[in-house]
Amino acid sequence: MSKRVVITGLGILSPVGIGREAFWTSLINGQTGIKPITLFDTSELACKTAAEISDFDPRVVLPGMKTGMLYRTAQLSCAAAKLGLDDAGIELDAATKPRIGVMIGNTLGVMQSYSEFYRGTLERGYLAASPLDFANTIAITVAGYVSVMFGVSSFNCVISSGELSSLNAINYGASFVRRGKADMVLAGGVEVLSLESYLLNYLPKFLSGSTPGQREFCMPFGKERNGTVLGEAGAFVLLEDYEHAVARGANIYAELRGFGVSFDSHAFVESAPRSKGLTRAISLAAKRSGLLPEDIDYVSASANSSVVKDKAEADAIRNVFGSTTDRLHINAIKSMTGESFSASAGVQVCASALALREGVIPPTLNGYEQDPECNIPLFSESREVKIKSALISASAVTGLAGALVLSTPQ
Amino acid sequence: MQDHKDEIRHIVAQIGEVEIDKVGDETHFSNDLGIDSLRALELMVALEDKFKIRVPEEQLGRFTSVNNLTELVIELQAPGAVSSAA
Repeated sequence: MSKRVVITGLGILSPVGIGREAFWTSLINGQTGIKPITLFDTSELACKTAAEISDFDPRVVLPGMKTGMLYRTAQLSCAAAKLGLDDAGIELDAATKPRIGVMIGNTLGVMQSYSEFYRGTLERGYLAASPLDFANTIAITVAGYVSVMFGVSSFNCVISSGELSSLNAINYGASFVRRGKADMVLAGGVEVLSLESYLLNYLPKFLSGSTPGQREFCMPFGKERNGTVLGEAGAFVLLEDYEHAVARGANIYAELRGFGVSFDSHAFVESAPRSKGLTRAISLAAKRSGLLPEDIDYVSASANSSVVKDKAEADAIRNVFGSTTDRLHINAIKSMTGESFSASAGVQVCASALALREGVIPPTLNGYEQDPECNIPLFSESREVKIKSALISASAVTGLAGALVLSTPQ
Repeated sequence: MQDHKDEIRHIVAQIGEVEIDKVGDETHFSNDLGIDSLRALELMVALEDKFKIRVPEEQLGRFTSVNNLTELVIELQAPGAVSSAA
């Protein structure tokens, strides 16, 4: 029989705060993490801002661990794992370690270290290449280092599907728990800012302000939105078998209810309706949750100030929820956290789990006019409201779309 | 020899991510400092770079303490050492 899967720990490092409490306090107070970039030189770029985790020091979060030679993505990944395990109150011992798996969403994690390693190797010769730096060029090490550092050995895996990565990782990780292959899984996403990943978005003009004369501003669903602002994050949840969690007296944030994913192969066709893929994903997640659309109270939107995607998401929400859309609580936290790509849906999941538990929904940071074409209700101050179910949506420019439903466990 | 030893101690502390005063002449890299096989390889590359030598792979078993490494480096720097890259 399929087991129930719940979230019992949150491991979050975000531009608005490190750790659950700092993250949540900033979100409900509407504090943005977007600020001038310090991680690399922007003097030759038109864009100057991003949502950096500016105060991250792995030695503080991971005292006594040898993380100094890991690349930043792996440092964030290990730190998110540590925070998630601590938040869940897991004792790592001979009984628990073999029953914990690691499933991490990450797409661009080794881009910077890969570039630096091969630049150095070409300049100095392969015999001078650093073995530790070489390990930092292999994508699976984002998860592998977590397994090594904490000795958790059920399995480890990395899923690379852009903005969908975290949701896919959580869904795939949950399947191991459902089938009894693991008691607990650290699942979520991680992505860091680097010049290399920034240029990947800057050169095709995906970023706000990348065209001269444009205002650089992250305004999800905003009338004058002109592109996104990038961010970075490590956002893991500890997934756990419900019975296991109850037996050890764990604090349960939420239960995973339904997941839907869809791929729209026409995403690059200009005339195609862009909302098709996400409409299908949201419908599937709602259906598989066993809930009716009207049973879902809250939607955490993936809107990131993209001209095309924000409109498509607003349309998809209205396509699924119809006349009940106007009673939904909807927000877009990327107005504060930026677009952290593979980690972004993980950040949304952490925020949604807290919204379910705390009975508060963070706002969409505004200060701009909403686009009438994005016809969904938004709010600019935190709302105190007891919700029962939350839907997290995510979509990628490639046509991938996904949605996850979380509920307060009954 | 003492110069070599100090250099090696410094490299071990840096790659092992430990305070330099924790690295004694006979401190065991794996048991006492948590230096794993990957870091031992890193140490090998750093020594080759610093002392202009080439360490044959079969000598990796001697990567256990500052004293052993110092001895190895001096051997490999000796005129006529087959592995010398200098």
